[in-house]
Amino acid sequence: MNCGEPSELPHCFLNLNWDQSIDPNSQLESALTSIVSSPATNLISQSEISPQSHYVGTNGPIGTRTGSLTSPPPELNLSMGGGRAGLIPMLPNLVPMNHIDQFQPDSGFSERAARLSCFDGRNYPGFMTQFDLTSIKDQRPEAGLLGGGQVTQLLDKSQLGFNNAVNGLDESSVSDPVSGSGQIGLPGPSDNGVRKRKASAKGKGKETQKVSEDKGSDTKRCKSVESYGTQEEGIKPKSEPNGSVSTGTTEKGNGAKNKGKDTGTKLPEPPKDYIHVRARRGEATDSHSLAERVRREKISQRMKLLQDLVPGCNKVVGKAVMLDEIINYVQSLQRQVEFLSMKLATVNPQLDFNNLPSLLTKDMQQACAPLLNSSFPLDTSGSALPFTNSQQQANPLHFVSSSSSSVDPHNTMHPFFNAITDAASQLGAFWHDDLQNVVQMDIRQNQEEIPVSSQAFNGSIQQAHMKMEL
Amino acid sequence: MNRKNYTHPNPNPNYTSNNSMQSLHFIQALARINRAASKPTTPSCRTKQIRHAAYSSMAYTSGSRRKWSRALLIRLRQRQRLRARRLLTVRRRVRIVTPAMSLPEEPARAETLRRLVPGGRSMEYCNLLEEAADYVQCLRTQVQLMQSLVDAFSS
Repeated sequence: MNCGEPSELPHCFLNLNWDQSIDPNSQLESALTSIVSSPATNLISQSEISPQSHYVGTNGPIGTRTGSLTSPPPELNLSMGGGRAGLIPMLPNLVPMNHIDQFQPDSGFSERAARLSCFDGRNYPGFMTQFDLTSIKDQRPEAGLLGGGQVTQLLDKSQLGFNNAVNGLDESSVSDPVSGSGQIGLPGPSDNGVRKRKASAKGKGKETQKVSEDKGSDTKRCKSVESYGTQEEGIKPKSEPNGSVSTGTTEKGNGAKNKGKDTGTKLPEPPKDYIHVRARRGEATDSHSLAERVRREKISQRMKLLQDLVPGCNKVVGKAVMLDEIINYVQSLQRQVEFLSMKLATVNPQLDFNNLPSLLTKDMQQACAPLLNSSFPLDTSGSALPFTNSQQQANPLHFVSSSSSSVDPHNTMHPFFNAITDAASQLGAFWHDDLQNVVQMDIRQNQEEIPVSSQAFNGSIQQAHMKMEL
Repeated sequence: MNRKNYTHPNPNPNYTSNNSMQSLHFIQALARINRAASKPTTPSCRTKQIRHAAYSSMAYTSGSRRKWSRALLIRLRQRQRLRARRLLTVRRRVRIVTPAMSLPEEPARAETLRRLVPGGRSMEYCNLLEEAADYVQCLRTQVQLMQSLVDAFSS
């Protein structure tokens, strides 16, 4: 029986757009003729059935299950209905109970109906009790084939007029078309009776059907792996350029309408005055990048400062080698401080200023030669010591007094001290008073004799003339 | 180029005044050491005193504007307090120094520089370089001052 064009069918018949003709010798012929010829089909709405429509059960969309094809069908106890339960699982909510006797009995339908898992009492408890089908509960098959023909188009829930409040289905859920392998599977029992299918992108979401061959037989089994989303995993609406929000239903077939509910929630649009400028390489506009750039500039600036301070760092290029030079220089300076403090500790007992005359009576050739040649090596515009004159910067220890001294104009050598007329105790008091009694004098050149007054420990003042020939 | 006459750029604007103040502080500290030396002391003890005088003159010259000078003054004052309380056998209170977060792009030698610069354990790397520059300059000034004093009083 080949169904013709939809325009050729009478108004009372269903417009089933079959992809291919069904073999008259198939076992499904009588069942399909009972569908078309029965007056119960007037209950179905006259809207067209899209080729991508699916059969949706009362508890959710039908998925595919993998079951053993070679398992024998369970025995069917149709004591009450007499096998006239025809297509009750196909049209559970549409066919009233008083129209059951209008279906013609089919002898081979009981075997085919036993393979369908709709009789297991999960979805149709009323029919199970009425037709005494409780024996199928314990031995229900996982899935079965509709014998012979390949049915690729099933009734859609929207054309069958199911009660969506009872079924708990959202009309905006997207369902994938069933492959034309002729298999119809039913989903397992869900927790809350509500399941959705995720809309997957092309080429990403769908997994290909895996075909496995048995060793003993050449029959092929198809596994359709489809993911079911929970109620919280709804499909996010896509914002279109014109501002409309697509509800996610696929518009395929001839004249299929978008029947999804418009939720009215639009995605927040970015402000129109905001212009995102893509930064070039090395010119990041992020605040963290700007802070890191400022930090790197500071580090490079201070490394240049250290490079100028540390001698020998001008030739160094890398920062690690420069840090090594800085560390070595700091360590050498600290070692020099320790070494010079040791030297000053050995010299410092002689700096007891009560013994200053004995210090001065030593051989001045040895004492004055390094002092005259050495200069205070500080690159300053002022004096090294705050109590010395700028002209005396070459010798940091010009301690002079205000007493007069004889000057020999023929001698052109610079002595170590110009004149010291105070006693050694007064010099000691000068050091003990924290350098408060320092008197500055001009450098007197051409001195030959320096009168030095020293006070003995018995209290008598002795005048000693020291002739320093330099 | 002579090492002694090599001039360096000065990061401190008050370099000249700091230089003279540092020499004044150090000579005052030496006079104080001589005044306090009523009984003869060992050379090691005098060496330690002179070294502390050198570092304290550096810290006083730099003042509280630098973190290394504050850390150095705190360390020297704690040593003085411990020296004064040594007879009382007071338990030493350990200061917990929060180490700075070492960033992954820091060189491995930065930790060595932190140990050399006083108070460098709690500095960031950027501040550490600035403090190290000032510390190097003050340390070099102190070395030159001590070298001139050694040359003056050596006999």
